[in-house]
Amino acid sequence: MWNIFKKKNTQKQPEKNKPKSLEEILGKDAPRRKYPRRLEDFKKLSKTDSYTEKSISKNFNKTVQRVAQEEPGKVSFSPKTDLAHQRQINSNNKLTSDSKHKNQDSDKSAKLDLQKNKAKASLGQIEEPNINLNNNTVARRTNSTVINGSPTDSPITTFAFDTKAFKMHASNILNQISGKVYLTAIIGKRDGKIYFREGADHYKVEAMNILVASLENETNAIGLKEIQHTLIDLEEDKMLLSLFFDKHYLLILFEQNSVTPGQMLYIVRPELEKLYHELIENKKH
Amino acid sequence: MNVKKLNHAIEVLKEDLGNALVACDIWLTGTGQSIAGFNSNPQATALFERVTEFINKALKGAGFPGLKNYYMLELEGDNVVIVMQLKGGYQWGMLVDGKKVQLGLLLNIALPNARRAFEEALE
Repeated sequence: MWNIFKKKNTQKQPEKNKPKSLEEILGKDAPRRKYPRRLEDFKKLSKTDSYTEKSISKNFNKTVQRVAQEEPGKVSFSPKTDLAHQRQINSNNKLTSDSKHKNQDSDKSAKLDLQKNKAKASLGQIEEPNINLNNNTVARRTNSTVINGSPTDSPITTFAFDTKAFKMHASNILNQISGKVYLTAIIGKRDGKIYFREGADHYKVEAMNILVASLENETNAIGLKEIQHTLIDLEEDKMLLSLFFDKHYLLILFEQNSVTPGQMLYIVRPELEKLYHELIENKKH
Repeated sequence: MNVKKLNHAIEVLKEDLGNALVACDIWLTGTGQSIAGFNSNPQATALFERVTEFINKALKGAGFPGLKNYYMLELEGDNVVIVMQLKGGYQWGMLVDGKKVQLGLLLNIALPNARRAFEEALE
């Protein structure tokens, strides 16, 4: 009884279902590779069960590509390969169409990121940003000016600003208050370009872009509404007032001892806001 | 830190501002985690911690003097956010309804009173 079992166990299993190795199919002289190097050998290979159609197709394509490179004119693409190629194209098209929708959704956040990165770049924290807003529009920076890469979009005309007129009127407004104003500047929100600047040269106002971008991002993130202005109490008895407009922001650095925050907020601010809107409106017409 | 006095400091601010005070939080800089508050908003606390950091960076980058006592953001709809810089590396952020309180009262009375009350809690 025992012996019978022993005998049965020691008997060799039939090799009917065992997949043939590449060596068996192509012969002993064939080089030891996982897949054949010659195109003709794929025909033999496809008859066996040990290689799936997918893997054969994949490796067949690789071989076709290699042969096409090494021996131009020798290869003609089979319908099978063309079909696989078409499938790949269809799949890519589907992905592209999906990603287009995703791109549209992420466009807004990309714009915000662009602002943030530009601000960081101005502080020297990161390299100059080069972010694609979507498939058609590429924002790139040349000489502190945003150029819209889309052939269909018109350049950003609203950024144009009559600095001479602003300088003249703003000086009149600021002269109303007898206190000391160290710096007045108007900066583009998107491009970080300084459109107007009067005051001490050692202030690098373009670095304030990081503040504007972060304030907008953070307040939006917690559901607070748009910022109208900020008032920052600084050391050395100074104060910084930032007025946020649609496309620009205005910075005024002043002395607290000689100009009260009330004067700035309730006398200067409304007049500067009015002046800004008048100049922008005039420019549009 | 005396927690009773800390809570008292918040009561002082509530008394001065009345129903103009929508919410406030006191937190330690670097943690972004509130230690006391009224209608606390942990998300706002964490984000204003970052805003303060951005302001400090921007001021430094621009060559402006450093942040001193507070910064104030006026938002659409007459909402005002004020973040006070306190002793010991603490910050006190508050959301105020600008329609219900005068700016003079807020900056010259409410904030100094609140600051004094907080400093008592620190002693």
